[in-house]
Amino acid sequence: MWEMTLASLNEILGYWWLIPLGVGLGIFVGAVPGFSSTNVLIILLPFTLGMESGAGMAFMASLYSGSHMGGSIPAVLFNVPGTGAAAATCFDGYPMTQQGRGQEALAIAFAASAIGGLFTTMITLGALPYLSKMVYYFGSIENFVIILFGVALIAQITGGSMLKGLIAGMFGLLLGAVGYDHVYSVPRATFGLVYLFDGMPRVPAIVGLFAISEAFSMVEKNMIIDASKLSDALKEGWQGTKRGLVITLKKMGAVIRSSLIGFVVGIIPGAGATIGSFVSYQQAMSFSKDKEQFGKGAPEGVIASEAANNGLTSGSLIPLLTLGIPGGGTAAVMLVVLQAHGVPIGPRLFQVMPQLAYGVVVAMLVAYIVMIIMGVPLAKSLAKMSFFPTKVLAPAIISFTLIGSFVARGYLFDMWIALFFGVLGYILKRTGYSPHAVLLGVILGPLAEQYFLRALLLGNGNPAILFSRPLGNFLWVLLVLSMVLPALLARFRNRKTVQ
Amino acid sequence: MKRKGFSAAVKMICCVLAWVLVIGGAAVSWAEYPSKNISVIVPTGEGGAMDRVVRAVTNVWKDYIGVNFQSTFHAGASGEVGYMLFSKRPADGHTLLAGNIAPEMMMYVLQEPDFKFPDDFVYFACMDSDPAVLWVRKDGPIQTIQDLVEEGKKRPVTIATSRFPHPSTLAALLLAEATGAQFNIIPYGGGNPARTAGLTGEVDAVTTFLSSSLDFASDVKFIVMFQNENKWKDISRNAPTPKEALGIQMPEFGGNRAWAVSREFREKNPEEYTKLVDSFRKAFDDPKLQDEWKKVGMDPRFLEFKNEEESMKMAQDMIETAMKYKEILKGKK
Repeated sequence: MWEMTLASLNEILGYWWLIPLGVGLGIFVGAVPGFSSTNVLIILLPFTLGMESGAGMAFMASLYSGSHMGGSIPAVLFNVPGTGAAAATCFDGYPMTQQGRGQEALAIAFAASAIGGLFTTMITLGALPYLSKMVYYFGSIENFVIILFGVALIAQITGGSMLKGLIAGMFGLLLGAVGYDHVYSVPRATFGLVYLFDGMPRVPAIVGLFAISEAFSMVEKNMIIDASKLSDALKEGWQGTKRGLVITLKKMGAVIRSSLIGFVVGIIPGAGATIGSFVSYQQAMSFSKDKEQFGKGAPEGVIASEAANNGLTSGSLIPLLTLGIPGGGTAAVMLVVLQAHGVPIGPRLFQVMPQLAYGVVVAMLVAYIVMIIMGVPLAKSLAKMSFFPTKVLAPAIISFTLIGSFVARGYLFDMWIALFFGVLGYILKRTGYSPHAVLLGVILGPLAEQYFLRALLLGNGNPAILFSRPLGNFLWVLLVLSMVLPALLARFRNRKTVQ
Repeated sequence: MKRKGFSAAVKMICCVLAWVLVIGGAAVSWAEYPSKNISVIVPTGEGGAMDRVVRAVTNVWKDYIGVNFQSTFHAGASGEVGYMLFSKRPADGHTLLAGNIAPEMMMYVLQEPDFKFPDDFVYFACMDSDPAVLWVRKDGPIQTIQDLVEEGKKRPVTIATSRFPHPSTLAALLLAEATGAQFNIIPYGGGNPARTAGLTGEVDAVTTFLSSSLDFASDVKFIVMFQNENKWKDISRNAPTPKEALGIQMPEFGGNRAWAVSREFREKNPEEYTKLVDSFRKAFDDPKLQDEWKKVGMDPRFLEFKNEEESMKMAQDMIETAMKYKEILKGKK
């Protein structure tokens, strides 16, 4: 295996110039709302198809990794998650910016992204053929339980009132039910609008609830940053970056745990980065001693989301490389390139062209090293964008996010959806309901429903099927423990303190 | 005193603008077809078999028609989203649809969408023929169609499909009806998730098109091909037909990837329509197409040309079949 890794590294060094290019483009693409690595790779297909297969895959893997890091920039600075994967980063990243800690938050996001990605890529490199077996253990039941970890967040991020949080979550689940049902294709609440047939569009919902609603709130004040923290933030040199790096290194356990959660979710075909980052955030919040700080600017929240969505990237390549199953949109585009070059996919890839399979992972490894070098020093300069007055930022955010809403699917209708969610988000905030809970319902509701219905169909309608598989049962136990154990531990600690 | 009306300068600008619009519009309408790139609506997601096929064909076709093609993917509601958007595009021949006749005509019958077939568009050419098959894991307990039917008589066997409105789903349901076996059809919302469920053993079998499962051919066994005669014996490794395996005569089920254009364009612009169709035929007959087909991982043995008349007949036949088994497909029977 090591000979293969070295041979792949040697080959990848031949394309060294492509990796920073891919990472740079990925960071840019990730930072622009609405663009994703998938739709950019589709646009660039003529370019990648014209390259050698190894070079094309190295470029795509670099762009894919960079895009997850790039997604954290607008999420942290402006509460603008370009994709679902960066939504959980907003929960704590943006409050940190409001407290004048934008630079620190960005440094944490970049470092956690790069270290988390690097760590799981090394695991992938060491155990690539063996990890493929994991895919066989995850079916509809297991996927359903994993999504429930994310849904459980609704009860945890209630924003003060449990009742209001649950109402918001239920409302989100209802909105998420819009579209054709997953079994018999029966339309639900589409009002005959073709743009809603495939469900509530994700990107407009995300940018509307978070970014546009925040832009509406911004115009009520002059700056994003609290007035009391502004002068300190303006004077800050590299201290924020240093603090961010130190915090990330101190919380290395959280980085490793979150990246592993992302990695496992990544291996499951179809699960995706959004689920990975929400599950990781839920776990970090459940087992944190300072859970009250989550949602108010906890560095652990940024680490949880960013380490998970970058830990996921190498995991998501495993089903593609080892079984020939594209686990998501980006992997599907990679599959097109592999097929265009006549590369055998699945188990035969390791027999016929092992250097290509390992080469993709090595390219990702190099990309994460490049990301540390390229990304972390950018935190200081990028954080300065949060110093712009809101009269400049708010219209810019609304314009960019509306364009982003359009770009994702190419429908003007999606811009109206984004505005609808923007107004909704603003009203929710003003009335003390959690927009985060609504978003969780909109994003995770359809996924949970899909896997739940499929599991029920597999069991001929008998719900006992949900408890029929060992791994599924293990995950159920973990889910219950993650909900109950923190409360029990807190009670135990309180009792100890009283005594 | 204020002057009434528009100034001479404004009037002049208006006249120039009107002239530009009239002449410009006329120039566009007189321009030789196609006067701009052709937009292709694909009613399935990117990265799938249709994406690959469209890429292969348009790489050759562009040389014969003289313009480039730009694909956009509008998956959703079993293809309804793509068809609805296609039906709303201008009928100028610059928007085509690349679809799969059988599943999408089934969608038309089951979901009763707002577009009208054959009033709104015509399938002007078919480019391949892809039979529906049932496959199982090579190392699984079920190895033949007889095993599957026997097992289906003891318990409901689970069969993954991409979606309910699909010819392979109907084929499996009719096979169950003919044999008395219980087939529990599980729609996975796409070919890739359905195949994954089959490979990971979540389901007992998968029903799909043959071409889309060839990537996994070394891991799976094709146990029945829903055709009267197996014309793909080598690549399906002698998968039997229902008649050969079980003595059952069934209708043939499969997919035919085809091109569609607005009927209004066809009726009002016969010369342009002929140019479109002829250029496709030339591209199809070009040996380069076989290379392009191979490049995207498809087997050229699936290539099969059908003209407008044959394609439209296939669509009408599929509508009749879907109407006949509508209740079964809606899960009401």
